[in-house]
Amino acid sequence: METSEKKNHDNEKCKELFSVFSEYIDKELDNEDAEKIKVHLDSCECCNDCVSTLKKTIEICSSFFKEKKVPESLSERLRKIAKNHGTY
Amino acid sequence: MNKREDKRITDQDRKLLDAINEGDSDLFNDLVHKYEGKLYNFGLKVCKNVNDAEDLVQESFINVFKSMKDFRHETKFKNWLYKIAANVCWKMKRKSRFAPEQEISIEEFLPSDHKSVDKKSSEWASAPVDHLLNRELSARIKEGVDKLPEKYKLVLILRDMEGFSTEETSNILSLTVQNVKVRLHRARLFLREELKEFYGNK
Repeated sequence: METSEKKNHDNEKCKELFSVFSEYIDKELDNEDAEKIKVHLDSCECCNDCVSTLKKTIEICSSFFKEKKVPESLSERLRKIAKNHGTY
Repeated sequence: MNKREDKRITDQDRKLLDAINEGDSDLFNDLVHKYEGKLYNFGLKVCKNVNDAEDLVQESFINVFKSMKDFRHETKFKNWLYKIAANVCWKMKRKSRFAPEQEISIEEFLPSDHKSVDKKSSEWASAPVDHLLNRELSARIKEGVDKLPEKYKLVLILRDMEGFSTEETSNILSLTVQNVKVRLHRARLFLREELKEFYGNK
């Protein structure tokens, strides 16, 4: 990918902000720090890509799993355990 | 953060638990019925196979029944249940493997230069999740989660799959809030790398 003015900036800044991208996505940063990242993302394609792929990863993570029904044999075992412990 | 001031926490299970502790032990069954599904699906996410998930559920409920009288309502019952289940996970892991837990270093995920931005990654990041989800992707994510060292895996599952907050996760796993944040970020970066590879090879 060819360099452009938009991407030409201090890489140390990326490293500094990189460690709090999750907190930024989770809205756990204070306003000042969040704003710092927002401004940086507007000017850094690399970090912007990192945040958007990270966001998508979280989204996929929260929805990929299809809930399964508890096997009847396990339910049966748990009912027995509940009954036995009920006698303490 | 100290949570002692949360002693008077509102818990939808309070009545049921009080009735059980007052001697109505038949209600143990109601508790099982209410939480077996949640715990089983948590087990399927944490464990590599169905048998281990079943063992996790069974062992967790045995521990719950044993320690029920000591439950002080300082947290929601559901969170306490997950705390017990997480401890069972650790015990199961210690029994099954002797290898020390691996660390995930944040350094390995740092974008090395701006060439690491490629079109393929931008494409999947902008597609709606419904369009992306399929059996192949789900299997890849599960593989990625299974590869995570336990200390990262539990944080990721509790936060991003079970929906607990950072603070709740810190209580369940007895970690500092900062530690939860650090582990979560590394786990997410690890999975993001798996997804990048998945889409990069397509």
